[in-house]
Amino acid sequence: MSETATANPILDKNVIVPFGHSVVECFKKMIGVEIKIGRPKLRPDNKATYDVSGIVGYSGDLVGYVVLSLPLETASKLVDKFAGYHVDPDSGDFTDGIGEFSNWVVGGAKANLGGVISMSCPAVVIGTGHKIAHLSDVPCITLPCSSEQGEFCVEVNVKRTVK
Amino acid sequence: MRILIVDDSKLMRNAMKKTLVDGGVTAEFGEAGDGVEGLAAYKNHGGKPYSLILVDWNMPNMVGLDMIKQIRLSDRNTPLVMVTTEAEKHRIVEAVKAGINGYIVKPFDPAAFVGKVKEVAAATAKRAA
Repeated sequence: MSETATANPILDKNVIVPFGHSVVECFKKMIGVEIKIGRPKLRPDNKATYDVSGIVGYSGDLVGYVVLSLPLETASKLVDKFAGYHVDPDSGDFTDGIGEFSNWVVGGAKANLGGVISMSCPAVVIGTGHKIAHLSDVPCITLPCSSEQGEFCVEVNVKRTVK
Repeated sequence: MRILIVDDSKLMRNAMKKTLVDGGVTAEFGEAGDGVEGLAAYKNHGGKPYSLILVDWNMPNMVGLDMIKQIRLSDRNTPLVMVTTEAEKHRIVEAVKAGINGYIVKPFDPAAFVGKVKEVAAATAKRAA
């Protein structure tokens, strides 16, 4: 069973809050979509929450990865809105859009996480039930997001390498 | 005006072009998907050099910062504007030291993006006059 942020002290709000702010700001500024953020939860296993994952890694003073996880339908609606036309989910433009969304969210949060952090280029995985292995010594935290285009989430599995 | 947009996301390149056109910028656009392609486009301009280059930071093959450093080895004049999610102060300082003329953080407000591009273009035109 997943636990909420208030029930579990290992959810570090200084790490989670920047992602909430980033996802709201990115989608509003870049594609005019309002996002509402739900209460963070612990992800119980390594199965991806939804069908589409945009994955970006961190290295430096913070290591780990962040996943923008979306149902295919929501992802498609958001990419269409960004592109201004219908983008075939099997096309390179679709993965391009998901990668760019991930880049915005993870890059936007990075500026408010402190320290010197580098980020990888995004990787995109599409497929129902795919798994993403996470760092075993830190929790993977899911930040639920909702929009007119549907629900999705940001999964954060990072740890600081410096105090 | 000729503007080269260097970004590994085609959709982002399209979005930047549309934002500039909608914002009243009249330009001929060139595109490149990474720093290597960007450098090639910058060098092989077919007799019509770019009047402004927009460069993403994080790209495969060659990052934008390295592309800017390469251009600045021999060209101090072409205006280079970084458009990136990298918003930390030390990153901006690094880019300024490499010789950029402007820095725009993604996500950006469309009006602010257009305003910055116009500002850099105008400053360059004034210097050239």
